[in-house]
Amino acid sequence: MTDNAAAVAAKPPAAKGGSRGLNVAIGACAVLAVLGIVLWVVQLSGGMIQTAMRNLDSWGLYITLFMFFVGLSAGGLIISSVPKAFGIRGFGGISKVAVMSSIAATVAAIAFVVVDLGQPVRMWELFAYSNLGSPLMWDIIVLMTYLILSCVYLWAQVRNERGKVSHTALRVISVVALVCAVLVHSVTAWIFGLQQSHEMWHTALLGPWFVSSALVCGTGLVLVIAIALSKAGYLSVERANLVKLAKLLGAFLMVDLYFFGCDLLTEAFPAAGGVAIVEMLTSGPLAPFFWGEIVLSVAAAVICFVPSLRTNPLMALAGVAAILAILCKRVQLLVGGFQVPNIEWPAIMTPSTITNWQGNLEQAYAGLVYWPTPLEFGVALGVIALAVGIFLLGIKMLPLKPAPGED
Amino acid sequence: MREGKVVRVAAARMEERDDANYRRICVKGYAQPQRLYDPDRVKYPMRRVEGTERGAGQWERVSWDEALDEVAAKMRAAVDEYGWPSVALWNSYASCGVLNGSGAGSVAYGRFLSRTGATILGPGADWAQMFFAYALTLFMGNDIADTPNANTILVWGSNPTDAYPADWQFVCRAREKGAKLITIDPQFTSAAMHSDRYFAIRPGTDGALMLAMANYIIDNDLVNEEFMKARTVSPLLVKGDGTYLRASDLGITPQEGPVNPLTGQPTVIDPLQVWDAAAGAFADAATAADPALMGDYDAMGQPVQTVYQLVRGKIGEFTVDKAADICDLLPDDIEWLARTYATEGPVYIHTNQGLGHHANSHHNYKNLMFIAALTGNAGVPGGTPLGHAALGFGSFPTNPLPFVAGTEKSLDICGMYLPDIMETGKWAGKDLPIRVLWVNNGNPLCNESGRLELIEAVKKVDFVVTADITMTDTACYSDLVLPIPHVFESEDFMTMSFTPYPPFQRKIVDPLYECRTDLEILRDLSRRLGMDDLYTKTDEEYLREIMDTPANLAHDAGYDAFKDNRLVRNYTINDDEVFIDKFALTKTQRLEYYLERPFVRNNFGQEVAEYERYPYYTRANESYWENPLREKYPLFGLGQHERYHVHSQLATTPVMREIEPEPLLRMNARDAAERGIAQGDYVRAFNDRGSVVLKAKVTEGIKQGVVSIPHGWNASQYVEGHAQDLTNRYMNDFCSNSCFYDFLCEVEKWEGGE
Amino acid sequence: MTRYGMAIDVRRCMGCNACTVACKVANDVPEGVFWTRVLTRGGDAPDAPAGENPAVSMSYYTLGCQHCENPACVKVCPVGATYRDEATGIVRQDYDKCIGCRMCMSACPYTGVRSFNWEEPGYAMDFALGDADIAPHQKHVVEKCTFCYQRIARGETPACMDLCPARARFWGDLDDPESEVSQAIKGREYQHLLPEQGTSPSVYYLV
Repeated sequence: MTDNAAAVAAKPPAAKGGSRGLNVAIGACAVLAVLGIVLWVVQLSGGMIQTAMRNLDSWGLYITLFMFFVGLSAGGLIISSVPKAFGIRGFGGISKVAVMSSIAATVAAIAFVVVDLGQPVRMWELFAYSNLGSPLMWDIIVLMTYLILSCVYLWAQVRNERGKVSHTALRVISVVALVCAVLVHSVTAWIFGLQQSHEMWHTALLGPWFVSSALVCGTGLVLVIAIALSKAGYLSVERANLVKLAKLLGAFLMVDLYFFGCDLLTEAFPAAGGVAIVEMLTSGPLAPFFWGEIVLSVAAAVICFVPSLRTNPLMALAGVAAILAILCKRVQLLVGGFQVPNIEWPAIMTPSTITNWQGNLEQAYAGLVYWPTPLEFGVALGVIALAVGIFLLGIKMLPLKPAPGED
Repeated sequence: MREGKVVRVAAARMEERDDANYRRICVKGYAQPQRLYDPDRVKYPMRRVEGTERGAGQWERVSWDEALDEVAAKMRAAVDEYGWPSVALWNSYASCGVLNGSGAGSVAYGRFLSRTGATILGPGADWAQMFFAYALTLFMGNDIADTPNANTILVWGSNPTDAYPADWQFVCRAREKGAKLITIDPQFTSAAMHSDRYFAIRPGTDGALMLAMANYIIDNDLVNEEFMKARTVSPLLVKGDGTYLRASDLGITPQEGPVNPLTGQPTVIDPLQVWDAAAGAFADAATAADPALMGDYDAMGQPVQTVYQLVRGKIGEFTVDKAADICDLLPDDIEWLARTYATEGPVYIHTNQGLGHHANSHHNYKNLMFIAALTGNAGVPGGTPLGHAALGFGSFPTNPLPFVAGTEKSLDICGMYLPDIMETGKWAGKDLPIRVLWVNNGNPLCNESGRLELIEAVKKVDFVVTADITMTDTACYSDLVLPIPHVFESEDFMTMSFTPYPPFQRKIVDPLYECRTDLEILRDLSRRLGMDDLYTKTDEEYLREIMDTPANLAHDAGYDAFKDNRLVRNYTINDDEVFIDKFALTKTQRLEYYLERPFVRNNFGQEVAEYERYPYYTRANESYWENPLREKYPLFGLGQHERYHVHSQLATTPVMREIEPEPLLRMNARDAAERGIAQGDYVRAFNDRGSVVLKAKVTEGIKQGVVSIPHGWNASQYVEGHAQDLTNRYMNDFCSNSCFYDFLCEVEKWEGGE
Repeated sequence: MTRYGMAIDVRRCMGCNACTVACKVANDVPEGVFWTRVLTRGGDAPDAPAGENPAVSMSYYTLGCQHCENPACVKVCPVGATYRDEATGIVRQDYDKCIGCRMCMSACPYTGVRSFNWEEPGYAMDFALGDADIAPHQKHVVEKCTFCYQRIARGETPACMDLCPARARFWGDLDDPESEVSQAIKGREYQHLLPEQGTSPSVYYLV
């Protein structure tokens, strides 16, 4: 997982070198993306047996990162659209960059679904034979809409700056985009939350919680980007705005932790099946991710809330910590969902049963039930590079710098 | 069948009256298409590469001509120098087909043996039970289909769920009618799982439990005296020499009876005597009003006593407490068992060979007969001490003459003696230089007990040839391996069957590769040996000669009927009655727990001990609690019939190995914990004879202190060694049964590999 | 309306896997895949009981697709590749349509009854075993027990039902009170697996 974080973190220095550095970074992203595609072809031709996913843990890194990038995509759009939708002061000229980050993250989310498919060439069926009752179908629709809306919104902002689109129109678009952003997280949550088969996922809280988590990592991302781009001289954001963002991040973190607490309490209180899940998180195989999330969230919140700590580097650190905390959350959710089987009675094990199939089920579940293979990391890195590349291309090609007087 | 290939196997439909009882298939049957096309099959005659060690695994393909020329040359050389007994045919139970099956009961081998007098080396497996039932007493027990008549079912020394799955449904039916199910087994089988009570007995001590039950039944007046008097040997009188008192002993001249159709001689009528308490005198057993069960009497000067009295005098030491100690059971449990056995009959004891794999095993069968005699749990619907698929032994009538082509008498001994024979060059004091070994219908170097000794003996034989369908462990130690076909590839007929439908083996597909049947091979070989007239007929002609007896034809049960129809019912089996053994075949026409004239299976001059006559318990050879060897090797060995094997058949059949990829050593979880062994660890089981490295299956499904080795796996499927390397070649010389379970060992975590 | 179903007598089942292999051969199920398997309810390994010898206990459950009346898998499939055949009550899977997203696997509460072909299906034999009219297995799609749709379409029983050595399996139309399966269930205590999931399975376990 740290690879992804590294990829995100690697961006600011890349941008630092100005246009040459930017070009190099875009080139590097392109190379990684092509490499990812090559690995994806390897995965498709040689079979997904090369991934660590198996029947009893049938989703892995890709769907984890799908959830994660859907979340990341939120922040930008929301940060940018809320002020416009409600007609309040914004965060100082980062609106378009923020939306650009949303677009890039959405592309990554969609790409992660695609690389997870066994039969991507049959994707057209999604439109031909749509089962509108399937949460995955909802998500595909909402994600596509969201991507298009983000682009439209970005375009509208630019046009607005040039006086081609009215403020009212922009405001309408921003409201629609905001609704769509909330929906996209809820629907993503419902892919998991509507499955009664995984006790860990099956909670009404999952929808709002996804929204709150999305706000955490999205805000974190915008904060990091804002500081980085400021440092790179691409734009200048007032410290007050950064502090505002940080405070917001702190608040979102608190909400997210509150939801986490609610969920844990609800799972554990009946002292029934849910206890297994709480134990798995707090002291079981997922403990590093659980405590990782808690520690990172608290650390980020402390930076956000203690005035003396709100220096630029520390706030950037808080942003990164918040992003990583949510990544930990995603891992817990996805792997955790498969970590507790409904029926754990032992039976024949074959190489397609479960990742660690060469023992009994108890042994397979003793540690992390799933850990990705290098191929999966490679494909994931490619997808992330694609997203980063798109973002950097946006920075390079599009007029994303703040318009004079923009707030 | 599709496009010339067998693609699926299903159970045959039977006549409606039989469908519920006898329609059957099991997991191994369903897997047959994969056995037929098993990639591991021997495809061509293979010769050990010149200059390589036997067992080194280096083979070259040869033509049938080359192969059989070599066999003929080796046989001729041996025969010229030492005579035909120097050629030995080592076989087991793989087939009992009338054309290609084991030993003297087939055209292929029967004609060859009766013409040449070559030596037969038979299996040691299962002879404890078989020798008692089929040689000493001719007591078959009730057929499995009688189980639903039982009030209590005692699964003892059998595994009707894994080893004999066709039996299980009958047990289920009985249970659904309210019968109690009890399992006595050191291993927790599926049958044990379904049982009302389960008793984890220490291996090899069942005989002591039986005698303790007998004593408890006697001491608590639970004896069915009426049954004892009328249906068992109990009131018969025994003379000092152990034989029965007959009318002639009392001065009454025997009379001539009807002519025996087999011998053509008149039978002798010399009635067995009992003491008629009503008359106060000796009387014919068949007519006495009130035969005495106990007592010493004077028969014209010689002291006699009843069988019951004699036996009671012999078994008294086996009290409930003593047996509890020996068997590692609670005294209360033994009493409960005895009481249940005596009072909740009829009791059907479901037993196969699980009681027969120790050196003391053969006594178990006398002991079982004794407790059945005491309680009347024999010869009645639902009640038998030997319950299993018995129907088959009323086999389909055929003409055995085609099995004979000469008058030579072959020496027929247990193959387990091969090491002794190779060591001394003698059998029973006479020279027996075995030079050529022809292994057929069996895989002794994988399946028999005491594998390492057998391998050493095989290595001493000049020339070893094995005919088999796959490259078995025995084939691996041969000089020449001859490919024979799967049952779907050749026509044959089996007279023995566990259903009323004798299996006619239809040729469904042509033999694959270069496979030839045993009969074809011997046909060719006999010509090379100058016996052109040994097999003059075609397979079909032989089958017709065997099957088309006038009686069979009259019942439309000849070759054509079998060939045309899918199933032909054995017309000698009574329509709807289930087979209940009412002792019609025993010499005394009574349930026999006493052997008047015990004899040994393989006579090499050994004495028959007195205790062979009566119910008895003695410890096993190696696997017993007090054995000082337990300090070094504390674990009792055991084995089992594997669910996904037919002995070593199916060892490499893909789907079976997908379900169960590798051999597992079952060991108790507490024993494993003491040794730092976790589920799925590789372990080394060893004793002074040998060792094996394999995966451990840690389970509470086996008694503490006991480990169970897997059965039927090829040497190549173990990490190192072979499970049978732990086992012992020692046999008691009374019935010469392989003692698969009679061994001790220790297990340690295996640190090699990775 | 026909609603095919199965009853499995847990008090008879001996865990022999005959159904497993019958299914595997009849449907030419690829290596590494089982549409129905025997599960051991007891200890931590197949055929291992719970407890401490001799006070141990165990039971077997053969588990394949439960062909639920309210199937979790059908709802979530984005393209309708898994669907419930209303004429038979059978939950079917259209390999040609499946996009391999594995939503159904994740949604199905019955752990492990669905299987994804993680690579090109492999076979021990170099020719197809089993029925001629089975849908060819495909790489990267989800498959599962079909109740031997091809066989019941011909009026036969599913392969696992052909003959269970323990005679522990009963088959037929649950809506027909005279069917073998309805008769088997009648008067017996039965269990559905994971009833709290609300899926209303067509497989009954007689206990």
